[in-house]
Amino acid sequence: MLEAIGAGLAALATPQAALFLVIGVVFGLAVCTMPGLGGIVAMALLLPFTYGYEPGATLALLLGAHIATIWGSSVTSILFNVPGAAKSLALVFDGHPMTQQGQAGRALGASATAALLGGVIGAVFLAFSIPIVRPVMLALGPSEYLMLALWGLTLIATFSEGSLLKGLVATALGIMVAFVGMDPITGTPRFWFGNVYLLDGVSFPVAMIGLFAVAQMIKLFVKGKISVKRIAGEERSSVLDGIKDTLRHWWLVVRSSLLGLWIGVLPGVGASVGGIAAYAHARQTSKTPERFGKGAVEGVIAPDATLGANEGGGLMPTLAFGIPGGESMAILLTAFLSMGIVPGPQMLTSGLDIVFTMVWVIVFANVLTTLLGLSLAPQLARLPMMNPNLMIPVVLSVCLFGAFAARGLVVDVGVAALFGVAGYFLDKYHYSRANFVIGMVLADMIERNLHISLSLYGPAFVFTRPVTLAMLLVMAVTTALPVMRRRLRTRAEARVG
Amino acid sequence: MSRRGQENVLAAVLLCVFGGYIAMSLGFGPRARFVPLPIAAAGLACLVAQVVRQNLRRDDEPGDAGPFTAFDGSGDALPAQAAAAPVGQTQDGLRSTGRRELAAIGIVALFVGLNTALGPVPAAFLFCAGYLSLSRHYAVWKAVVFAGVFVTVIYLLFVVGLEVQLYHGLLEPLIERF
Repeated sequence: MLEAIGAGLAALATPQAALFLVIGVVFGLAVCTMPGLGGIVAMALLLPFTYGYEPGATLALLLGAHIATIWGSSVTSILFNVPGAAKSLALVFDGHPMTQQGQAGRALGASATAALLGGVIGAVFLAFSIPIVRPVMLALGPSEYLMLALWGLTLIATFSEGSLLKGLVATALGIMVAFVGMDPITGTPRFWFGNVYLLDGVSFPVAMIGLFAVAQMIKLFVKGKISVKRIAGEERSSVLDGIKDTLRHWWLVVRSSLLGLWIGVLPGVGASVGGIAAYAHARQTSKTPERFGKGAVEGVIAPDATLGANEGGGLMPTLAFGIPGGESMAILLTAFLSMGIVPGPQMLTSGLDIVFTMVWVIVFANVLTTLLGLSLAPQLARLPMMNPNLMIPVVLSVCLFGAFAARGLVVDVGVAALFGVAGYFLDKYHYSRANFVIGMVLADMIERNLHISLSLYGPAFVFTRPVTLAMLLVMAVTTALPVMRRRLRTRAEARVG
Repeated sequence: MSRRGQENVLAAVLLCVFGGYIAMSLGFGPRARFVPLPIAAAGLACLVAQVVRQNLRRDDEPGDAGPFTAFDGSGDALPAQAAAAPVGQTQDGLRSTGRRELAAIGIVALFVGLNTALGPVPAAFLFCAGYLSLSRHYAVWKAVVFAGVFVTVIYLLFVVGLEVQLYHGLLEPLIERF
């Protein structure tokens, strides 16, 4: 394992990897501080660059951008009262009041330091969880992987925003799209409409670019404008005050990071829940809860520590089981697959150096994000004023050029556009795009493991494999429980009403 | 059209997709349709349940008040307190949103058409210059200069950096002749 730790670090000790890390972090910070774009768009735009470079450099670019987008979205919450992503919503409650009171520097300092500490705790968790998870993974067979994939899908649909039924419909649509092309088991061409292009299936990076980036530009065009107002008092604090605050509340940072790790490991629960849960926890455990909502620095520290740690937790199931925890992890998984990195037991055996490269990238990207973010914060704060009229042609051009570059096929430009339109309407009517994408990513794992399980264990494999049966029961309970709870709560409210 | 009407139109489109998918799956061998068929059937069942639910409900679900609640970049809807005022609540608003949606789709389709006809580099140049000047963001000469610089950056990034083989468009033979 020590050898893998060294090899992971060595993969980043090249000029290309170092440069890509800096580019990724700066790009992530810039994109995420522009309301209207956001972290997912940033990731989707980077997908064409996953070909042709060193694996360490590509990981540095993607993960670096991803880590930077997490803190970048907190910046807009604190400065403009507009969360860059749903997960940064909790930062609005106390971060923006601090800005209004002239303590933006302190809030940004606290936010960046908490995210850094949370991120490092997440990376350490990822590193230490490997020896624990490895024997478990090696003991699991195809039927258990099948159950894990199905559990991931149902859990994601259950916890996703909006209607459960719409979530399940979106998941089914995603799986169905993934089945277009040659069936890997029987070699039968499926849903190809006699078009040779479709025999290769739909390219995942192209679909992601369309679903998120193109759809977001359509959304921006329809909305027409971005309304961002900055109401700030005269600055009366410094970044250093925020750093000191975070170090003073170190125990809150540790507890919030552990919460972030736990939420990251669970597929589908998502960082948006994590941020709010951390905020609620900080408020509940505070000796002066009445300060919350009026500019309490703990209300900034707790969500950011959780969001920082969430990534290490989220990477664990993504790498170990190939089950992404959310849409950003699904995009990362797509990038890993296009780089030839196949998640599963081999990641924790022969691919251990790649896992440790990621651990190092998380650490370095967090440090760099904090350093660059704090020094560039005043400049970044001006970016959201960029006009959509400028943003739309620029981003759309990069998106569609990126879609073309993914495989060098002009047809992919049309496919990205189609997915863009589909993504816009799915989003508009609350059919979760996250579920769609995760369905797409997990479809192959489900089909392959189902066929292998049937061949190896026979048609009654669920009942002959006790672990599989137990997992099926857990899946049934975790799917039914939130629905039952919601129904009981509605009935109780109706009775009271 | 009301929000519920729009939802029903989308559901009808999705019903056709699921129905078509099931019909096509039936044409495959038993092993090839073993997973796609039940998944499509389950999706169809969920969609039918959703259609029944949305038409029996008295009000639109809380999250469906308008087409957007906020720009979040992640696809997750943000709570109303953090969001800009929803648009498209009134009939006029819905109509204007519909028109803008059609225009947005038209713009994307136009860009795809330019890509197919001319190839990605000239398409990006024409699209950027055209969009920036027609939206009156820049004067024509400024839009052309901006598009030129931007396309050069894209070219360096993708063609020089990533060594992407360029596609020269359907019109290439015609242009070569002249």
